[in-house]
Amino acid sequence: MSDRDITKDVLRMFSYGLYVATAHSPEGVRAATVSWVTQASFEPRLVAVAMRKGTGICEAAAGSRRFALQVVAADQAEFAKAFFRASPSGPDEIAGYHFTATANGLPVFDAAAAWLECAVVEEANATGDHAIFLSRVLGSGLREPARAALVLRDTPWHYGG
Amino acid sequence: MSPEQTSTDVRSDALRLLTNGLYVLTTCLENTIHSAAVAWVSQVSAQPPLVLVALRRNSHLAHAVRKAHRFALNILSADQETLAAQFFAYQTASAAATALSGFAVRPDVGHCPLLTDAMGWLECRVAGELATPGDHALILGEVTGAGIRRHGQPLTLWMTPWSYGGATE
Repeated sequence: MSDRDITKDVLRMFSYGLYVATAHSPEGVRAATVSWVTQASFEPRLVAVAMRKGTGICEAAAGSRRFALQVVAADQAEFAKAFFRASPSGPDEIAGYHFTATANGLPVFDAAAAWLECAVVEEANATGDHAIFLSRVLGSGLREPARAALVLRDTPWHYGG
Repeated sequence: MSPEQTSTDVRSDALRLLTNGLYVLTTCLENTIHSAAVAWVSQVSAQPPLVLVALRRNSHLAHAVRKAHRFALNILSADQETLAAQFFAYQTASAAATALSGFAVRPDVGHCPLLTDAMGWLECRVAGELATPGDHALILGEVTGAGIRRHGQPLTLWMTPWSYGGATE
């Protein structure tokens, strides 16, 4: 194996969840599945989310400076899969998933088990192929009953390396 | 990190539904090895391969990583909860040490010491630090080396009785 292949395999040993990010763009709501996410501070509550540069979701988050991060539950692999590719947005649905606006005006899918409303405080990663959005958690929500999160390793997919 | 025991209300906070792994960060500055368990880690670029690691802002570990300009992430397997627990408290050792808390390390001049029991490891050069108003320093590492010792199931925080995340520590 080349060094590059080994690096890729080791990076794929990292543990991630699956999330659907949504943000407003001039062309409507953008939605995409992301996994490179970590909390970044307790006080204030911050998360760091990496989005591939040039994608609709990345441009929408960069432009609007706000996005919602929705936790995909363990039994919701199809929800995650629906947003691997960009789909056109209707006024209140994308790829058949209905969304409504939160108090902060962010689109959140009815299917989301839990969500964070995020405001970008810092955009970084000039040298990387993903933008890092360091974001303040404006608000959050959780649907009952509470559910376990989907772990990327427990799916047929991977992202990373 | 100072993880807490998972309480019954853990699921009441959406932030606590984020999935994290559990890693042991090691670095070597001058004659001292610095190490601690970390959970807030994510890849942030594929090309070049970059990772982001959050370390408590004014910690000895963050200062050591900044000064050493490099760090290693030792990836633990699902059966290494006991090993992880030994690194919840930040610890130092002589650069010549052959074990940390009883777990063997392979010292390597010019590199970070590696836990020989870890299933895999990454070594990173510090490529920068994000400006943040938060309580953790956000260090960007460019991967300069990697190795796999065995394959298997890596440890995630969900598998343990502990959590690190949410509204409060």
